[in-house]
Amino acid sequence: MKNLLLVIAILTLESYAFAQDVVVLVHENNPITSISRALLKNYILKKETLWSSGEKIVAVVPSVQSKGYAIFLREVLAMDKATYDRYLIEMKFRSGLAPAREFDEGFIPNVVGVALGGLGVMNRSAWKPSPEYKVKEVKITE
Amino acid sequence: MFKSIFLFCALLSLESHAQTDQKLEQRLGELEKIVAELSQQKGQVKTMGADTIQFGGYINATATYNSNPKHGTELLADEIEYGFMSRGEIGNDLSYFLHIEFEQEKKLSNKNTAERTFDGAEAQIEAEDIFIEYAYSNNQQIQIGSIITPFGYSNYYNHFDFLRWQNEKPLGIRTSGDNFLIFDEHVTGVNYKGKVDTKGHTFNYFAYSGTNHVNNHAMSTGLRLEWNLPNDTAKFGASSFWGKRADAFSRIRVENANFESYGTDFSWSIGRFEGRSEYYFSKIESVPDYARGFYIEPYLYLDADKKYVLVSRLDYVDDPLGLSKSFGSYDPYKKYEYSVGFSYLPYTYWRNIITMTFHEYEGGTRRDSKGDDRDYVSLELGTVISF
Repeated sequence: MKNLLLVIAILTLESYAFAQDVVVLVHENNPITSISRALLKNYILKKETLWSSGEKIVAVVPSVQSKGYAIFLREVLAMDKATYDRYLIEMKFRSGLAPAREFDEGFIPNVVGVALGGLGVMNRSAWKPSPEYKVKEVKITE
Repeated sequence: MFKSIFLFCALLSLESHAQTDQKLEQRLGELEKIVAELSQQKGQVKTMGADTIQFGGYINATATYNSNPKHGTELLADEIEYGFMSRGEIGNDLSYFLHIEFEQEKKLSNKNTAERTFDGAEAQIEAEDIFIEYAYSNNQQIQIGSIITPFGYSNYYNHFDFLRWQNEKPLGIRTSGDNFLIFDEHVTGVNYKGKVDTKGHTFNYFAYSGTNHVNNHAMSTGLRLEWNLPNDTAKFGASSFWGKRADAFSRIRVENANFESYGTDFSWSIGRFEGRSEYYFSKIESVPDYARGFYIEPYLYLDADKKYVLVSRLDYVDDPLGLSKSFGSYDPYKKYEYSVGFSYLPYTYWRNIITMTFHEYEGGTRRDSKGDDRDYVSLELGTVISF
């Protein structure tokens, strides 16, 4: 029983940490209000390329130089850099798809705000909400 | 007194706002000018109709050293190729993918004899992928054109040099002259593919039909099913490929024969230890023996950055058709290949490889038609960049 409680506590804390570290932004006209962790990963890895509305997903992620890159790899993809890079090469050879565009975290809200299908992932500490950005934050579910 | 201070502050605030507006307008004007200039620049690449077009490719160079029992050793830079890729998005659900390979290769003639030797360089252009893709949804797509045949793991997922740890594909997948042993690497036709996700598991399926690229007067049809465990830790696959083989081939002379090929594959990823394995066979009308083969290819990443990789492969083929001719005649054989090697990736997009392969012919096929031992050892070197 104690072990079960411990597992539940760890899972809850892990989920809380994930939600705390990462912000997921979409265009303000996108009807979604939440996104599952698995679906988010599929969208970033381009295993799925369309929103349910049929709009093309324009995914943007922190650049390698950004502070949020390590958090993005760990919390969103659950991959190390070598595995992610290898995945991108395999994706290119299989379908010609280009990886999610990388931007300095300061620009991610701008880019998401100009594309209807915009989807951005960034470090929470770099996110400064402002009505200037035409974006909204969506909740991450397990 | 307070009124004066308040008025003064209000004036300052208004002036500051006015200055900010002026600065923003000035900045906006500068940006508009830059955008206008950029749109008129020479040398700008524009698409004619697509929303976006992307380009990529690779360059691959290989060298091979063969220790021939009869002719001594031979070391040659035997292959150089340039791959060009382009993908265009024409709309949200319509796209194309183009992948053409320009290649100059020196092939081995009499490769299953003690007198194997490299031929002169042969240039060729190969259509690897040229297809239009229509996405019904995220989970269902239809591809029309030339595709890499989704049969087995190696052909579909490791078709290109950069994705393999060896210069050569597994034995059963290599084409011999104008024919294939188990299935054709490419077909031109229609491929319907889709996936189903459930509780972290993904099931992929492919159904396709088209004209073969080699033995190309015939049509083939195929199916593939895949089961991916959560986080891609393992993948199980089953494939089939059937049709008619139009050309007369082999000393058995089969013409317009029906054939059925089946395969099963498994790949895994456990920490730094990864690998793949396949078994496949083909039953050809009026040929008493099955063509068959299998391989297992385990590899180990030696460091966390995955720059150093220890690779190996145990490979087997039984070719009762004798598709690779020896001294002008069809020459059935059974063969094992044992490879060990080392791969180094100084950058993610640059892979270098050195492997040593022991080629051992089995049982009654150990000697060629002149009575010489066919076994030999080869050393393969390769470098490939992807961009």
